Amino acid sequence: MSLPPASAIVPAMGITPVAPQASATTAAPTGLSFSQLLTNGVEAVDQRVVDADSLAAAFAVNDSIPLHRVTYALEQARLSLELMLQVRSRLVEAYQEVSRMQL
Amino acid sequence: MSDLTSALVIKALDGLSERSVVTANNIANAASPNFRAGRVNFEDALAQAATQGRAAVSAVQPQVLTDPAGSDVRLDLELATASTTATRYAALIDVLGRELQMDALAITRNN
Amino acid sequence: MQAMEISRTGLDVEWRRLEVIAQNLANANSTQGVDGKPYQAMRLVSGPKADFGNYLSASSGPLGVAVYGVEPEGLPARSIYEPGNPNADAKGFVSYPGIDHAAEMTMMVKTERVYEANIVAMNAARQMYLKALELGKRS
Repeated sequence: MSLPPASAIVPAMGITPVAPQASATTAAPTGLSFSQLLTNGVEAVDQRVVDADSLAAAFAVNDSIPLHRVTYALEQARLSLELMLQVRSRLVEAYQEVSRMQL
Repeated sequence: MSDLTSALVIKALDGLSERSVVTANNIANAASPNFRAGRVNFEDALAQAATQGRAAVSAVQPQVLTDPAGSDVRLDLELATASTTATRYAALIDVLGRELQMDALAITRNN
Repeated sequence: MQAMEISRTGLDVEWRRLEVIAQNLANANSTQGVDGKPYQAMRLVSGPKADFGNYLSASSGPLGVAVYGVEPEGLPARSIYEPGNPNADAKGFVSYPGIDHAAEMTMMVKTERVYEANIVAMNAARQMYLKALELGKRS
């Protein structure tokens, strides 16, 4: 079975990334927009999962790869994935709470 | 887990299972007259197929060879083989389990 | 797993060394060898295993030990005065293989110790390997 890339899970949230508004007046801090942060985070998790997977494949073929590297990489990937899913849940909750607000 | 990874791990497990069976047979027949011990090879074929893609990996079959007639069964070496085979099997099962857990995360928490 | 394979080579070599020692002791009283010539006490020569395929490449890592060959001990034959023995020469001396009993027994004990040590090493490697599987295990 193929694991869908981490980036496929996030759009299911229903949050469309908000394009940063080009504001000429404010001295915008040179930082990343929220949507960019999210995308970067998701890509980083995806990369970890893919790397751990290829390490596991290499281990299946070649036994001289140290086992602790494989299990560590898999564990890191798993924790990243869980963290990302937690973040997603919180964002969905926040979104739902905001949309319930009476204005 | 990519298709290639699952194919590789499962093929490696296949080869190790075959090896444990042949080794058990060698050990059981250590005192049988004219017995020719068996060996299982799959690592080289699997490494080769890994560079060629999933279809090539699925086509790999563990190869069982027989020792030449007259060679004794070295009981201690067969036991060493049994031990290393079981250990590597445990490692690959664990790795496969971790991959499956990650796949499961994507399914169960994606509500 | 590499460490286990290396220990395995150690088991193999020491076992064969023991066979050579056993052969020497069993033939201590043999008046002649297989081809009619006197029996020669032999010694197993072992050393680090070399990977001849990768000889020219960068170090392929430790591979364990291998048997290089068997060579004669080179001890002079013992001449025992036994005029009644059909194998005695003109002067009544029978030639027995030159075997240093004490040295052979000592070597046997050493071989056994190395063999046991290899088994311990193999078990240790196995324990380490299995420990790596416990990373991230929720108790």
